[in-house]
Order: sequence, then structure tokens, then C-alpha cells
Amino acid sequence: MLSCKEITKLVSKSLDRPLPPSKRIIVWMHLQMCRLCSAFRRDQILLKERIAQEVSRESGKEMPQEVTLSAAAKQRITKAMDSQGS
Amino acid sequence: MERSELTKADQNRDPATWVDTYGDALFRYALSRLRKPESAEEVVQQTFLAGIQHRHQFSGAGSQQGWLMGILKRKIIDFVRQRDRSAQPAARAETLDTRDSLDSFFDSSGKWKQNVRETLLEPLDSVDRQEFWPIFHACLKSLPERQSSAFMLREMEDLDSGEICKELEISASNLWVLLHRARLSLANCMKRHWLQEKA
Repeated sequence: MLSCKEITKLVSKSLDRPLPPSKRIIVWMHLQMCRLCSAFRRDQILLKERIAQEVSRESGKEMPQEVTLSAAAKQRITKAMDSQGS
Repeated sequence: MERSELTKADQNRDPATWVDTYGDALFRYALSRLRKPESAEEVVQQTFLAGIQHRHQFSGAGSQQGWLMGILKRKIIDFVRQRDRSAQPAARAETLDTRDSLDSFFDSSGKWKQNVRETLLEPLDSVDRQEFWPIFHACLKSLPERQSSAFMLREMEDLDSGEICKELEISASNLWVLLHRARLSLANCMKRHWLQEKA
């Protein structure tokens, strides 16, 4: 029997690539009985989904338009571009 | 939507107009990833400089802003990697020490510790949408540098594990440990924040 510590490691790996079938069965059986590890899995799937949604919306778009480069930064960047550009 | 609004002139603007035309959009994107205005400014600058240098490579297919955005994404990854490399050697060693790194969550027999169980059972989706991102970013920031770098490159920049190992110069098994630890800590941190705010 694998401990919760070991099972969560496998759950974590399964988020990035499918587990081999033998491991998948072990994890599945454990999750049937263990609501703590099930909670861990549920959270991680949600976290992944929310992040993916956000990233696909091209982050930054949700930021208010008032968030802008400061005048000082614009000046500095323009200067750096001038000195490289020509 | 945005693409159709672009006129021909927008497709290939003179670099002298880039800062005013694209600066704010690139800055907001960079800020959403790096959180610190100074860091965001720095990568925006690097992006424009690289853009000037490689200007002739812009094919004119797609928008110029999209092209610059592509450069920006690469610059953000470079920035995260460099920040990671310059982290204190002690901090690097500590977070790569894999042996007992899960002790705050599991007891010696590998069971969930009593004091994390209650938080664990609180569903993460009870954190409402408005609150989700501020809490997420605060918690990401509270992770050890290596964990947050690994997590960011994996989940936000969507690099595959081989690329992340290369960027961070770590082994695949170290990467798994970092990601796993980051996931445990993030979810726990977010829910604790949320429970606190609710109370």
C-alpha cells in the first residue's frame, strides 16, 4: 500500500503526463477511499484550469488601462533604443 | 477583434513609435507575469531592443504587436531563469534538497498531517474569481524562488519539462519535486488566505 505522500506525488506527475496503467490503477483505488488525496487532486486540476484560462486570455488584458509604463520608464527605454538603433 | 482594427500602417511601424504604441500593452503583460514594475520595465526594454535588432525578421504576417509579444514571452522566460540563477546558492541547495521537503504536509508514515487536513478539505473553488488572482500571486511569491520559477515556466509559460530542466539546469527528478512541492504549498497557502479573509 502506498502512503498518501507517495500517492500525491503520482497525482502531481499525472498532471503533466499520463501515468503508466499499473500506477493509474493504484492511484484510482487510493482516491476511491481517501478524501484527502482526492481533495488534493481536485484542487490541482482546478488550479491548472484557472491558470490555463487566464493565460489564454493573454494576461495583462484584465489589468486596468491605467496601468501603464511610467513616463520616466518610457523615456529611459526610448533612450536605450536610440543609442542602439542608430 | 483587435486584428481587424489594425490598418496597414499599424503592421509595420517605425521603432521610434513603438514605446508609445505598444509599450503599455507589453508592460501590462510583463507585469502580470513578473509582478514587479521594475522587472516588467526591464523586459519591455529588452524586447524593444531585440525587436530593433531583428526587425528584418518580421515577416509582416500577423501584427507587429503580436510579433513583439512573442519576443516579450521569450524575454520573460530568460528573466525568470536569470533571476533563478542569481538566487543565493544556499537557497538553491536548500530547495533542491529533496529528502525531507514534504515534512510540513506528511507525517513520518506518509499520512497527511492533522493540521493540514482541514484546510485541504476546503474546496479551492470556493475562492471567488475576484480574489483568486491576487491570492494566487501573493502565494506564488511566497514560495522559494526555485519552486515559483519551475511552477511559472510549467503552468504559465507552458514549457515542457525538458525545456524547464534546461532553463533551470536541474534534473527531471528535481523538477518533479519542485513542482510537486510548489503545488502542495500553493493550494494550501491560497486556501489559508481565503479562510482568513472570510473569517
